[in-house]
Amino acid sequence: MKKYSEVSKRYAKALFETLNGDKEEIALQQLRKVQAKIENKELKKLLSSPVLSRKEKGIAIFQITASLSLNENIKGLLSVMAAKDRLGNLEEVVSCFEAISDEKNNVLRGDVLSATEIDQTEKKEIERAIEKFTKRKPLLDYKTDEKLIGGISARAGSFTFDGSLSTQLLRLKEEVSKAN
Amino acid sequence: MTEHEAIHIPKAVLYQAINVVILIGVLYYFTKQKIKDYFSSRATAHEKAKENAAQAYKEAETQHKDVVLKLSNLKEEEAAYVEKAQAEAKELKSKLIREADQIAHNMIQDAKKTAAFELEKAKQDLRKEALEEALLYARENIQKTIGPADQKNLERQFVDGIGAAQ
Repeated sequence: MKKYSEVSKRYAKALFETLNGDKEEIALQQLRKVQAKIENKELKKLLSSPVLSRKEKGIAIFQITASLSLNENIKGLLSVMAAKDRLGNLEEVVSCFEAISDEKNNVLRGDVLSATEIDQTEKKEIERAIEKFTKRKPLLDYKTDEKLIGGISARAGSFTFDGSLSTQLLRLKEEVSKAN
Repeated sequence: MTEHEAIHIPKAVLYQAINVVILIGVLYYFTKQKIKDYFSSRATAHEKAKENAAQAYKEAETQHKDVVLKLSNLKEEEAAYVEKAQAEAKELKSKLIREADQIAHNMIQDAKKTAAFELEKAKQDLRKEALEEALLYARENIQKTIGPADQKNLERQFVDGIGAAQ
């Protein structure tokens, strides 16, 4: 697991335990939405600023996220973090929560790039192959990129699988350069 | 004239003469030693000056002899000096020529190395450019000709590749 600060680890672990194996993925999505809401640089600065009291920060975060209809556990986490003036750590807490959740559920996150759109059958085949290789359940995000020319390139956790034509051309170039 | 008349000296004159004689006697008595000392010291000084002059003369003669000797030696050594200077000049000339030869040799070697390096660099640049062109052509050609069937094939190869890598 990536290195996180002890504070972030404590908050992430506490949230994970309160969810008790239930709705972790939903919680993660909600946390990402909160993160996106406060992504604004000025807002981030304001929530970390000593000008606002902890109570004011708590009110502010709930007003900002009011439209998100957050899970009670997430609300509780944000409330505690605001009270302890730790909202500045939210990004790290989300990342750490994701890592804990993935490790407990044996999940491997990653993304797949392909030159053209991939259908569901192919997606399942790719996931099956990666699961077989890594012995972990892959959660993949699919995107297309014309720069690949053809084929697929995938990254899951620390694993990289590259079958794109652009990479093959690059390898060919390197081999010819070395031969010269 | 009578004998008495001939030797008659007036008394005043006689007394004056006696006074003069006494004066001379007194003067002689009191100044004799001083005059004697004065002339004696002058004689000594003259003697010393004479000795100094003789000494200076001797020294001048010695120096004269030395100068004459040096002049004669100088003439003898002149030829040796000229010969030595010529030998040194000759040695210096050959040394300068050797150094110039070495510098010229080094310059030629450096120029050869630079030319070889530039040639190799130009070859590499050309190879690199040719390779870039070939890859660009290949990329464009693949992009033009690749179809859905090829994409499916590549996706199949990708899945099989992961399976084969286990």
